[in-house]
Amino acid sequence: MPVGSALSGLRVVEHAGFIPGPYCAKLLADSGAEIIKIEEPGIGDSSRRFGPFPGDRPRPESSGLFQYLNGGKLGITLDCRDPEGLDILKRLLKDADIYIGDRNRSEMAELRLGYEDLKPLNPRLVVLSVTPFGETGPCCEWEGSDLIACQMSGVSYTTPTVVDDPPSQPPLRPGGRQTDYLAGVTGAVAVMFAILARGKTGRGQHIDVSQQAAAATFLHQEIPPYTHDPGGFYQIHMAKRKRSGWGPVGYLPCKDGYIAMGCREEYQWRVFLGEVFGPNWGDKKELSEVLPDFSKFDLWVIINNWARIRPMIVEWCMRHSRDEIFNLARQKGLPIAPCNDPSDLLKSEQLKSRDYFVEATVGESRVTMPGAPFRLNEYQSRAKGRAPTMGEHNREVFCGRLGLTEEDLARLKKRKVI
Amino acid sequence: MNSLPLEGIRVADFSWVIVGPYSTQWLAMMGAEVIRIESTLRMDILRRQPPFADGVQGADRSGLFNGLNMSKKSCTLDLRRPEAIELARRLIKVSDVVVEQFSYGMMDRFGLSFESLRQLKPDLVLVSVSGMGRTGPLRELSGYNESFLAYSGLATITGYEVGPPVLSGGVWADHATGMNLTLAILTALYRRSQTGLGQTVDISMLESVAAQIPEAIIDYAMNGRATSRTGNHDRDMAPHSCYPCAGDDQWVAISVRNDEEWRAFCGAIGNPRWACDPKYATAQGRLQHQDELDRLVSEWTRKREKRWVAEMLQRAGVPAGPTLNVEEVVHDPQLNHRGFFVNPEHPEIGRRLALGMPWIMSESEGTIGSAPTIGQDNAYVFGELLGLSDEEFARLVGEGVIR
Repeated sequence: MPVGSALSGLRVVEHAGFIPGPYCAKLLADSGAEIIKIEEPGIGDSSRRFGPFPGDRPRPESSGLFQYLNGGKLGITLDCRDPEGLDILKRLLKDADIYIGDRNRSEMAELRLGYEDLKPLNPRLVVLSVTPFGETGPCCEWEGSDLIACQMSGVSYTTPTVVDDPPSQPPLRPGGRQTDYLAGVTGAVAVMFAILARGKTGRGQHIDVSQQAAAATFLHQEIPPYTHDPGGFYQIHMAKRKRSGWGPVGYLPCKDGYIAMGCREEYQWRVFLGEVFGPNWGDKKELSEVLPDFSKFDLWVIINNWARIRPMIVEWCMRHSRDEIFNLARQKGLPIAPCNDPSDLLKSEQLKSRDYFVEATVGESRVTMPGAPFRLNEYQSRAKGRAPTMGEHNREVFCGRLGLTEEDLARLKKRKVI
Repeated sequence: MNSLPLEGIRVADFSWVIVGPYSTQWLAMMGAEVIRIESTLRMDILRRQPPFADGVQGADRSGLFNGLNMSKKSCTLDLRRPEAIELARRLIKVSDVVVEQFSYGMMDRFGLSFESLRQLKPDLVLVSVSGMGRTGPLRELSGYNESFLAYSGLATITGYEVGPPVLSGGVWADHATGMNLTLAILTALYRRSQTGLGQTVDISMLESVAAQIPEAIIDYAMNGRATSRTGNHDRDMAPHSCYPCAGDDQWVAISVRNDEEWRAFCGAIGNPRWACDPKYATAQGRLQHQDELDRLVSEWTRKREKRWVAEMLQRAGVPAGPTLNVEEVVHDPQLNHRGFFVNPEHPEIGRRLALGMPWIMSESEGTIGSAPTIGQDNAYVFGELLGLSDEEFARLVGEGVIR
């Protein structure tokens, strides 16, 4: 079976910018769907203006982010506010399977691209709207961002950190722009549900994905305490933000960086204390004060005495590098991992052996990028097609597929419709 | 007209804890019959962890389990017993999807290797989720959420500017992978529907998480530069942070994405003199003077109520939103308007609020049922689906095979 082709034959028209909509389309493209990406003439997708850029020189064809999100897509320019532009879009949608947009409902209605307008045009069309808060509700016209979704979903407030000075330490978002990508994955999931439903009914449908709600689904550990035991567990452990998470689990400094300490079962702690931390742990006076009887300790001893045990373990870690600790942990089957940065990732034998990274052209350079987040069947990594320059495939799409002539193209270009 | 996309699809779900169940819960809500294969001898950790309903411990009273396993069924098998493996194979033979999340080699040791299952039923969708993937030198690595956040590089870029890496909110690696896993399963089911062919999915938490930090990886590959921890700042946008508001631990998030929004922001706060300084006119300038800018914005927000600030800025077209704690999220008008919170009736503990779906689909509404009690559906699975007689069923229960 040809690889990366699970969704071959599916035609997607993408009418979105920055991360959520384009990443959704990228995921479908990774599995073989064809994407026609629409950009506004002269303006283009905002991610063209976001880095990283080679040598920090911003150029619209050199954005690393744009390349990652839009590699291999067919790029056209189209002003859908113009009646001729709208007509062209509708002709494209007539033959498409999936339409991805990120505008709010009133904008779409204004453009005459609401679902009520599209359904009669192509009853098989799956229309995805991915927006910060959803298409209806008190916040439906609000602008959003990853930061706002993290803060308004509870993800940031429930970040397990030791917050010594809350006024100077606001609730954190995860690194990067996580919920922007999450919104894209969630959109792709909903699209595939709709495609599978279409297999039974022969009909498309409309999907409304909210980035805030997608992020809020990650609160599976946080909402239950509030609803199951509000006066007990929630009140004691979670109501206030000064949290430390699950006791001993977290990141510890070591000689050349940090490691993730993940031991949370008793047998793991016995192995760590007995065989990694120090075979003669009983000789460590301070530790034996806290853990006098190795045969009788249970996990709660570790948790309850973590404030005393942690400095001893950190002192040991500071004498070892990430790799040393990781290798020791691997030998013993312990859940301890190095805190990597991208240079480590790019050198990782694990990722290399799985052919994870792909190479792509950004401006004039060849750059390594992450590959697809999952693989089907016999996977083969493919070089990512280059992301389109503005309107690169206008001719191919408008003339080749819709039968417009060169004169039409010239005329539309002159009117700035394309 | 409610058309559930996965009606008629049966999932033999060997996964547990968070990543697998989070993923299969979406399948169950959208019509699949998801049967969790559990065991009272080796219970899902979440059934054993508090919070329990009303503070009373019980395998069927766990908030964490009940919130991640809605609309699913549960059967119990002691997979160390050959007869249990035989029953598992029979269940798989009438299923469409198998999901497993065991440590490396476990399925093989059970006698349920993917090769043998492929022979048993060629068109199965066979799904494996693990930390590192089922191939590669680190395939046997055991670990949890924090290990994969660390190994993938996300931990290193999460935290305050001055300070160590920190965990992310949610159980980030599990949940992020879980949503990707759902996509992988649906993609495989689609392919199968087109070709009749079985599919195999191998998803690694490391690869799912790393796919969501391209900016940091590409910056290094392109410019040799490591991304540092920047708190709530953004690499390209400023002002972009959480600003203190009136009250105890109250914050508002503001993210000005471009110069147009910056001008709107200045206008909204009354065009104070400092904001008109040309050094802030461009994104580059605002990033360069970010610390000073944050201080000035904080002075403005500090005496004002967070919701008032957010609404006022949004009216001017500036992205802003209040920081919400758990209680505020549960009462958030926007999420409630969407019907995001659900309240299924559970046989033992009654109705408890839980999280629903982040999508609203015009023709596929999704169903919300409660999570199963442990072994709740043994009679259905072994009696009805697999056709065991009452005597046979009783014998297997008595001998601890169904347990």
